[in-house]
Amino acid sequence: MSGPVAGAVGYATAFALIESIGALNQSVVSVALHGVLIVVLLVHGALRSGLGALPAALAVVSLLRVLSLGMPFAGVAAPVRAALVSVPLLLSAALALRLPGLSVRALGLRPRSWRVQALIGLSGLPLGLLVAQVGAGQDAAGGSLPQAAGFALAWVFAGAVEELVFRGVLQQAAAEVLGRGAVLLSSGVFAAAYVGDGSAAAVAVAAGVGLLFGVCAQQTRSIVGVGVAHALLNAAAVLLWPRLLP
Amino acid sequence: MTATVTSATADFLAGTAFADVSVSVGVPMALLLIVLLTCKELLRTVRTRLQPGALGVFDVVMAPLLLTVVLVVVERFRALA
Repeated sequence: MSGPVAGAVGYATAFALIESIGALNQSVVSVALHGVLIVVLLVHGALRSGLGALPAALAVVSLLRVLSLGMPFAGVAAPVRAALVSVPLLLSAALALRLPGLSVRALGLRPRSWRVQALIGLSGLPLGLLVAQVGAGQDAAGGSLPQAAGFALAWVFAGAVEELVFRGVLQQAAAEVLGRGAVLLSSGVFAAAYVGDGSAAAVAVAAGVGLLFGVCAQQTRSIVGVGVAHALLNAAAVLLWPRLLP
Repeated sequence: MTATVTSATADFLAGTAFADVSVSVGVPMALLLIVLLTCKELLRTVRTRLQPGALGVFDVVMAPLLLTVVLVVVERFRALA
């Protein structure tokens, strides 16, 4: 294993370990460890050590957890909180895309085939059923329709921003170091970010969805379809499937 | 399905008062901001031959973190009022 590959795998493993600590009801410890990881990643990234923009991209993912715990407005519902956290996360992703080695153009916001992107986007509907089966979206399912619609809208925004972070920034940065193996790293980190759900099924579904979205984004060179799919997945999991299949 | 707010995150926030969260998480966030700023300035001083734009990696975390820390402080004052 070459130095840069070992570095990429090592940092991803460190992220997964810290997420596991957070899942053991040690949220404050996990914030502190994420902070240390962010400092190490950014210093490493500034010194340009053959990892390209990958350290900065992993720092964006670590920041996700710090912001999710540190953002004020503790009394708001989970979907609203997810949308609130997504605003500074969007800023972070936008700044990361200005770094050497990353570009907005590589996000493929003008895809070659809109039909293919639409098909990928529609995959969010059946995937939403899978996610609803493992327990996501229960908060909204019991509420009124306008409340559930509002929550779904918040989840849609959060889902789209997550795709920008994991497939748009992380996978693009990892591709510089790992080539086609970038999909494995981005889906592994994506799954690790779900360890806090405390369910092996949720992590397995996240790994599968991450792998599927990663391959789609890699093959089509666009995150439009997967962004729509993740947004649709969230909306379907909280609004559609719990009402169709109570 | 979002990694942003997992069950562990939701449980922590539900079981902890805002005043406690703003200390136990808000203070480490502010410290992280200070450490990153210090590292950035140290690297600027010590490594005079850094590649152009190399220190831009710090802004990726510092800008959103600053925004969030300001929100925490504003909310803390609002809670006191």
